[in-house]
Amino acid sequence: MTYDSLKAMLASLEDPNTRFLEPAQRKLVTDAAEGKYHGIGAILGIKRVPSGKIMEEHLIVIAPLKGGPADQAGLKPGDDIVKIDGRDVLPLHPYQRAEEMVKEERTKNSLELRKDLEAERKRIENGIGILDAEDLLTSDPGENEKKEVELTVIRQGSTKELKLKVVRQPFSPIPVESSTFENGTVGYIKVNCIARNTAEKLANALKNLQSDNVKGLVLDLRNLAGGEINSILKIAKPFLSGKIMAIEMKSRGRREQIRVPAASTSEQWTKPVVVLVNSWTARMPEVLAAALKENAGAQLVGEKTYGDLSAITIIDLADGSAVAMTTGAFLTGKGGNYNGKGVPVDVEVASAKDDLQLKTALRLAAKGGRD
Amino acid sequence: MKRLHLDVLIPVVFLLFAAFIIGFLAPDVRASGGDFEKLMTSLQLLPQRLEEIGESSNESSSDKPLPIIETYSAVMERLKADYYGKEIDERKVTYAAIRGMLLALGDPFTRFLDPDEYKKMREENEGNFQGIGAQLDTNSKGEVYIKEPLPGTPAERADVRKNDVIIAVDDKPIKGMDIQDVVKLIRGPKDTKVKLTLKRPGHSKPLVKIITRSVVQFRMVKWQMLDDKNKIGYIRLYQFNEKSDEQFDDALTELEKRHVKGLILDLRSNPGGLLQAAVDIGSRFIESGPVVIIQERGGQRNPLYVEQEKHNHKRYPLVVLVDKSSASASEIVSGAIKDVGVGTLVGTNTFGKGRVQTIMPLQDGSAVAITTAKYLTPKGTDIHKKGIEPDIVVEQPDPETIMAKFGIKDTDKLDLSDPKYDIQLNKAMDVLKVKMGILPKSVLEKMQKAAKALK
Repeated sequence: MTYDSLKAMLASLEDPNTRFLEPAQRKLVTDAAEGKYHGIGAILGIKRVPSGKIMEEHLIVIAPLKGGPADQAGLKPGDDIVKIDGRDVLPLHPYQRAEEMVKEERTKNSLELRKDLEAERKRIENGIGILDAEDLLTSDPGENEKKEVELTVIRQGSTKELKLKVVRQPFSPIPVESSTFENGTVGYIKVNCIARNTAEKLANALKNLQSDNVKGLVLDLRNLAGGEINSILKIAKPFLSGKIMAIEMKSRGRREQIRVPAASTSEQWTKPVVVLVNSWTARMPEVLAAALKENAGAQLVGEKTYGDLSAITIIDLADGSAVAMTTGAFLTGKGGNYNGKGVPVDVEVASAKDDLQLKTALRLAAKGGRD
Repeated sequence: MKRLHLDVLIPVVFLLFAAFIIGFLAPDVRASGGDFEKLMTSLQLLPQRLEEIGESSNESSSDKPLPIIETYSAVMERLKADYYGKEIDERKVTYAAIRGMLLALGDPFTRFLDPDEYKKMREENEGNFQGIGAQLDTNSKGEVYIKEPLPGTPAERADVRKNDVIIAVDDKPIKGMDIQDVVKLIRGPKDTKVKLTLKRPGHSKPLVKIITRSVVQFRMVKWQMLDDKNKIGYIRLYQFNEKSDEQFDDALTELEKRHVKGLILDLRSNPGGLLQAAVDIGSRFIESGPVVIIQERGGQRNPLYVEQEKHNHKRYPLVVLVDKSSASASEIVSGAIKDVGVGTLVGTNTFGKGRVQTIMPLQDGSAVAITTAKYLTPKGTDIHKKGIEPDIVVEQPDPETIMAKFGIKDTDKLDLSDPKYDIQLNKAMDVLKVKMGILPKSVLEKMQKAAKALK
């Protein structure tokens, strides 16, 4: 009873980041911070999309974690999950479409309307709520549940439905992958998830690139979401040692400056940095990208980021459940506010052409970060 | 805001309107609440700071449930102190917390009513509202028009006529406005004035009417002498409220003046209402014994007996029309009539709401409705979730079938309010005629056979 009360209480704020987490959901958060993912191994997001006159929430794949079940099944960032095992994924207010039909067709003939409403009713009855769908895809199957789910997705830029079979199972991605390009002159680091050990792996990769004597670095933050502030501060250390990461605006006009801890000289990365971002670079990675641009002279390549730079606090309750609450918004050190807008890039390259984004970034990095 | 506390329990027992879970489009507390409850998440949530409320134990997941009041207070304090975003509307958040709490019981009839909802319910139960007494509807052009000025109301006295199209209310044009919003504009406290600008068919200039609002009774009853030759009367009851029995009595009196010999009581789409109204109206048909038996939580049974003073009319052959939207009080009346055998039920299986709610008003004008008892028909049957099966099952065919049957090609030509397309009503007439000895019994047998064949 207390859970239901808290859920409804927090939901009434209609703020996507403020909500109640049952113990199982709370554990997913802890696990993700440790780099352990459940379900289909993808970071999912809920996006509000216009559908005629109404807005409907869609379940979108932000990032299939590399090597995970979703990645292996061929899911791509931006895939819109419209059905799970043939059941329609329903928006938060599933009756909106029906209400719209009644309004729109008040003047039209009632027989067709009745038929349409009946079909809509069946669709809703058979459907699965978007939050239940998200829960299903981010949790592992129970003992009596089947492991495989069939997802029907609509790929970005297409209208065709695609069916993919994905297995739900625990998965731990490699947090950081590194390589060199342009005959070893440009280092490339892809961050796959923001976990507690990401900073350490990143620091190691940077050390190796230092000894490889590369001229510049491409830091790939595309399709990367979430993150805990302490982890992201550690990740930022080699680039922003002792500098300002962000200013957090809090309630009642309070402001707090957030500084990156100092790194030893040998840990610091001094060569040019180009950061790859796209519209699926969300939350703490956006804060990082904005700080790198402002305080480390980094060029941003790709497309404008997601635009959610809110600060969320998780308040643990005595029984293992928790309340997640928006407690602030991050501005850049100089006061730039990209909330709801997304961090703009210096060189815009559309996401559809993935290779071109990378090529542009590599070319820039090879030239020392400037055209 | 002062903390809400539960006022003294008022001793009136209500049967809540079941309408809100009947219709597909009717606002459904559970559907909206249910999906709302977990509401939006967006990106995968990860902690940015960790804090703890309550006793700090590292071994979390204790078996003890969270104490509801303390947790509510702690979370509310945190929201007020640290929530970043639009200002916390404490009232709204508290209402949501109560709704969520009641949702956990899984009983759609136990629910919270905010002050507006509670006021609306009280109006419906009292059978009064303050306004001008005009029934509105939307026409095929999407215009809001006067469907009917109710007799004896300010609307009728001001010569507002049927089919007048409303152009403006208090000089505010209403074009494109939802009919519910127009109703809100026209309603208001009694003795205040409202200005209506109307377009009347056949008049080139708009008419302006300034009307003083008053207390208007909802019309709960529609009656008609359906068949003048055979003296078949028809009474439709829309809801069970404080005015229903009186209006029902009046309707019967009018029909008796016209020498009614058989009666059809139409309870279709009647979502119920007050328990007392069900006992009153039930008493008009049943000679003695209980109309309904209320069974309290401990199993104690309290029969509510027939009120003899309601026996002021003659007895005629009776047919009751029911359908899947006949609920609660409608099921008490039809269940009693069926059990006692004083009438024949025709139509489809009823809704199946056999629970009684008690309303607890809270001090700020909101209220909580709580299921406090079940009710049984006179023979002791609990109809909850089962409904009542009519004696003679007759489905109302869908419009396609009706069009085919009557050879109507154009859907615009089909006026479903025309009684000739009301198959259930026509079958009810046949049943009544058999009971009155006008038609042979074989008609009934044929009907029963047809119903069985359908099964």
